[in-house]
Amino acid sequence: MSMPLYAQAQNTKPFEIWIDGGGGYSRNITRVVQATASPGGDFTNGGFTGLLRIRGSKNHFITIGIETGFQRISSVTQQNAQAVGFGTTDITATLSAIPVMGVITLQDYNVQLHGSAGVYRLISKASLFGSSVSSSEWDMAFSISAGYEITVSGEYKIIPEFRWSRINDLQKSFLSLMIRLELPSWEPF
Amino acid sequence: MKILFFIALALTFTSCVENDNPLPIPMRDSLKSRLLNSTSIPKQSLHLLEGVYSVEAGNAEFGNQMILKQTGDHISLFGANSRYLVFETGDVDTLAIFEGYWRFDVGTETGYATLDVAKTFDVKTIDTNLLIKGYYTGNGTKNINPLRLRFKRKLKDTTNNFLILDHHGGFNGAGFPYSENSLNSIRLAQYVGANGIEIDVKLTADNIPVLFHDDNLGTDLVNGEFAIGPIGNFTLAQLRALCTLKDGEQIPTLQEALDVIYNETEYKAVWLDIKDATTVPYVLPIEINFINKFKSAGRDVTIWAGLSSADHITAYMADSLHTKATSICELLPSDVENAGCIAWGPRWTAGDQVSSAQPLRAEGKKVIYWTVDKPEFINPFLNHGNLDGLLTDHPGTVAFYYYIRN
Repeated sequence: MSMPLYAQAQNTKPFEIWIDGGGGYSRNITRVVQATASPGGDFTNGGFTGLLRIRGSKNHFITIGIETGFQRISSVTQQNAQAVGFGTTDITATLSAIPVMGVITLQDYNVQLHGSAGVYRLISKASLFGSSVSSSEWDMAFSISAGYEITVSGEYKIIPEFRWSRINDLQKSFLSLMIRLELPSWEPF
Repeated sequence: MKILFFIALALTFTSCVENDNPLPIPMRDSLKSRLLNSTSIPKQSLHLLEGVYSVEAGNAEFGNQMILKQTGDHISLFGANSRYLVFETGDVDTLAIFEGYWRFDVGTETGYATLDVAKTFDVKTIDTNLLIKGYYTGNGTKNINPLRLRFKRKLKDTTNNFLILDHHGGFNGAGFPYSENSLNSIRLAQYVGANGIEIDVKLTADNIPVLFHDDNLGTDLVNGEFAIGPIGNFTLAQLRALCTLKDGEQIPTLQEALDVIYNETEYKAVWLDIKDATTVPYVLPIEINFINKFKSAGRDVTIWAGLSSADHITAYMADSLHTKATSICELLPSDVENAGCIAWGPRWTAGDQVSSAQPLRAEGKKVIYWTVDKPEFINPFLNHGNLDGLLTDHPGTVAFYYYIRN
């Protein structure tokens, strides 16, 4: 009689730490009402996203950890943008985020399912009227994602991952496609 | 003797009604406005209509009694169930025509409404023969329901001295067509029961006082992908280029807001809710400028710099201009005295504080409680409090319960 997979894993595995990281493209799927105060310009509603995850567990079925990274949410280049009372200006601006989240991962065979919750540090940088301004704020966020583990060499694995995430107060949702490299697990004890 | 009062006065003021800032009247676009080609009705004539009215038809929606108030060339009706109507007015042939909308203090339901009153009636003995009648449509429909109001009695208080201040620069809840702390919300609040306005003041990175309530720009208040974080991180020019309020308006400066209040409203009081003590020195010169403008124009309008913390009082007293400014203090009565404030603004949750309010009022200081919204709280203050006004999110409700009192 065979034991359930989870029970087998719990009985046989020592505590291990997994580190993986990667990057890809993220797209905002929420409608942007307006990028700046006036219409027009070259607006990009997404960009590079990168992720670093550290997880630990006594088994490989359920792991918990933290993740951080970088996400370019949007950017714009706009010429002769209107500013009521101040004439026109050229604008170059980006909105980015640095996630700091807790993550729980379920893995069975080669399939990984991740759920994350935590905060995003939102960072806006803009150049206009001949000067620059930077502004930031914290926002609650959560995400779910799925990946498929492909062993490339020894214990090195490549994991394509598809991710949906939501930044709460910013009221934006994203779809991301990433490729992650998972390093061989490490047994600290 | 019947006096052709409207006709006589109207002849001296005949001009086509212009809708420079039209009310957001639901469905008027799809209906032919009854005010097209109308002439304006003098304010004095509209003022004569103020009073308590019995609702003979439409009472299921609007209650059995409503208060009719005039503001400029608009009239408004306020009911017990927090439903109100606002009308533009015009004169066509033998009728004075009112056209506008109804809505609640809270909620998004709204509809078109129109009323007529015959232009001939006896102004000396205005009585229960005065009938105002018309119809209103249901929420989002063109179904017509009769609305008929009969004059019941004059208002007991015709001074307009009791202050009803609209909170957040005229924010009136979900579905309200304009952003809070916007120039349009300031313009409109006077027609929904307010005779005073409270506006929130923050400072930009280049030290310009602007109207904004929250510390952070956010998607609830502004549209603009890159406008995030503290409003004080941005200069006014940067704000104007990067974002607008939700209704598409620019974030107004304090100067622009007071210009609108001076030029386009009949408010009697303006409460400047200065959100940070460091903003006080930048507000006082603008406040004093408008105090002098109103005074020069012979208008009885009070502007208060709001002092809501010990730091505010310290900043206020440290500024030499404070001797020329006027202020309202939200702290203790002793702080009101020590800072030389002309008004006290206690939080309503501490109760009506009659014993504290009485000596201040005896000195000629105003007492304004904030922020009182519900009838079960409004009425005790009106009945037992010793006060000069209320700050509220629901000015129409306060107006009804204040003016219905006999």
